[in-house]
Amino acid sequence: MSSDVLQASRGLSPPKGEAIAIKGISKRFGSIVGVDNVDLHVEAGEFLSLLGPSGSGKTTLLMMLAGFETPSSGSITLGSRDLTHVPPNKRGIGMVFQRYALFPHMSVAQNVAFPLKMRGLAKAEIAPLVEQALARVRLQDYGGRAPAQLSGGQQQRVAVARALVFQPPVLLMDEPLGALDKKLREELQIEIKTLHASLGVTIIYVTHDQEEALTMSDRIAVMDKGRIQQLGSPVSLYHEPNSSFVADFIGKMNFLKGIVSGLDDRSIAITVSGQTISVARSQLGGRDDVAIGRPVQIAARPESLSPTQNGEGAIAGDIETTIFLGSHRTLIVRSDDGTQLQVQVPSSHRDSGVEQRGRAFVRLDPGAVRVFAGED
Amino acid sequence: MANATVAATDRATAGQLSRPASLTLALPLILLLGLAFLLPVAKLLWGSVFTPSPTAENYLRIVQEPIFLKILLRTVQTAAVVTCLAFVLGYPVALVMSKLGGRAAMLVAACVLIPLWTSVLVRSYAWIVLLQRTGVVNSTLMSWGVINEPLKLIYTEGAVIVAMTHVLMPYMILPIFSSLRSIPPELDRAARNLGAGPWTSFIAVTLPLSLPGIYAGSIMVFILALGFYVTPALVGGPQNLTIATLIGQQTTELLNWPFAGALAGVLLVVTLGLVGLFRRFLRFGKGA
Ligand SMILES: Nc1ncnc2c1ncn2[C@@H]1O[C@H](COP(=O)(O)OP(=O)(O)OP(=O)(O)O)[C@@H](O)[C@H]1O
Ligand SMILES: [Mg+2]
Repeated sequence: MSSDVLQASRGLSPPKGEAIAIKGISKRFGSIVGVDNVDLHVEAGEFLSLLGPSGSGKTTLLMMLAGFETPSSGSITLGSRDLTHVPPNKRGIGMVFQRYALFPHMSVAQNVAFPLKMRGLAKAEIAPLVEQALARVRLQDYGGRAPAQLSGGQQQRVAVARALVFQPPVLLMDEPLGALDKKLREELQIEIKTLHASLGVTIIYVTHDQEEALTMSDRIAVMDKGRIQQLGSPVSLYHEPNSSFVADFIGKMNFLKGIVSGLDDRSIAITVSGQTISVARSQLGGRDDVAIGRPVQIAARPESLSPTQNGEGAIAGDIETTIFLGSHRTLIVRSDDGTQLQVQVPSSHRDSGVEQRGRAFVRLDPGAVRVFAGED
Repeated sequence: MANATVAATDRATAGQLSRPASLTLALPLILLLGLAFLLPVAKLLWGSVFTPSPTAENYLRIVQEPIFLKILLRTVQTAAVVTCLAFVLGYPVALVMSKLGGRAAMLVAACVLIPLWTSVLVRSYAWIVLLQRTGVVNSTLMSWGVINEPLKLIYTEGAVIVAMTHVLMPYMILPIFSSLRSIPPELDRAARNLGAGPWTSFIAVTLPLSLPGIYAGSIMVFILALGFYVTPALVGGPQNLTIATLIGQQTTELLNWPFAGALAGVLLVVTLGLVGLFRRFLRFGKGA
């Protein structure tokens, strides 16, 4: 943990976060399974995102951590304390809700003071802590205002201040930026990251925005159908997805159909769009279920496809449109066998503004693809 | 002129009507209220002062004969007790209703609403059936051997209070329910998460946020109770006169319309005064 060393050398206090261990937890609502036998160990001071499509069980899992839902089975441990049957107000875990959940009949300062009051602190102790907490989210002059007099971004910062003022070891956030516009969201992402780094609190962060998860997290748990499909660092999830679901959910991905045409114990030869490529067995995601003649899916990021001049060893197709994205352009190419491909090309100031049209040949970087076999 | 047109279209697009149009729509109701309600009331009040020469005699009588002030005081007191009881009994019902979902919520809502759709007369007679000498309550208690002789339940102040509380309860429950429903559920969760137990969260968050409903319900029940006629007349009997039953007596039995007018005037002033007071008190409570 090099960041610990860094913090120690700067004279900052060491992380105060605590680890959370979730063991075999499930939640059933009648016949609906909200969360299905999830095991998850979150390190002290870690920033872990729960990422998944709507209905994948993220909120349900978070609610069980906060104590608002009782697990149907399984256990939750915070540090060395068993939390499974502790009521929410005794858990001492901070939480930030999607819709701020500030108390509208209290001022900003009263909102932030609330958890301290609940803990029986004296008025004289509360005031400086509230001030400090508001200063941390750059709202020191807003204590006297009513929540309704603040913008959405400011309200959410107050909610963060309120959730952190009592120094919880863990902070839960359920799509905290979901109600904000893109620019504000990016601003607050950085702010939350900075707070995380300076406070060392363990954060479990729910989002269905994969970009947000990639930029903010130490690790991401990708959820689907109540289960964790893959758990790993943003880099490993991006480059080594172990299922086509994860590959598709994180980042942009092209899927091509291929047939296994050759096999040895190190590499696999795959025929795709009339071309044969050779990939290492380590590029197989998920099940190692390949045999000659069997279909496989090849997943290639737009940046591992490149346009080329001649058709030799490349996939031929027609350019449908070009999208300019600042630092690069994306060519949308329809290959001759009907697959739509996104090809990323670096852009430069020498590019003409004219859209490229016509025939294109796309080369696949065989070392950068993932191969999924036997998923259906 | 052009500006006015623009303003009118603005309102129209916002789903609002221009002033003349809305006035036209409200006209039938205004006429009905004016002719059938305001005019007779004004005539009654006018008649209490001009008989036909101006006189304060009717009002002086209210002040001079202690019995009338006593009745007035008792009416206010009864209304206050009924309001408090309706609040204490109604709030939990509203709270449960707001927490329930689906079929259970509909069932409770029906239990609250069906009495509202039943005639006050029917509900008051139901109380007579329950409370009279040979009524359900007395006969049950006697058959259990709790009492040997029937208790005097009907024609007491207690009977009036109980029956009025029952009859007016929906007017308390519904506004409180609607204000509880409008509180986002995550506020209670936030309070619990920040360290408040269920009871503390209720006191610190839910209760203050439902104040507008409590205010509306209390005002409604209190005003209705002040002028309530049917239930006190049937369940209270002649010994338990309220201002409304007294006015009824003056108009229908004694045909003393000028004095009834004076009583009605005093009731009106007292009602407005108390509502104003209540309002100020509540606003003060909110501001603090
Ligand atoms: N109280 C409940 N009663 C019944 N089913 C529920 C309840 N809460 C959640 N579910 C179900 O559990 C599943 C998981 O829901 P959950 O809210 O955890 O999803 P989510 O990942 O948070 O989705 P979103 O991104 O839309 O917030 C869904 O199928 C949902 O319908
Ligand atoms: Mg959710």
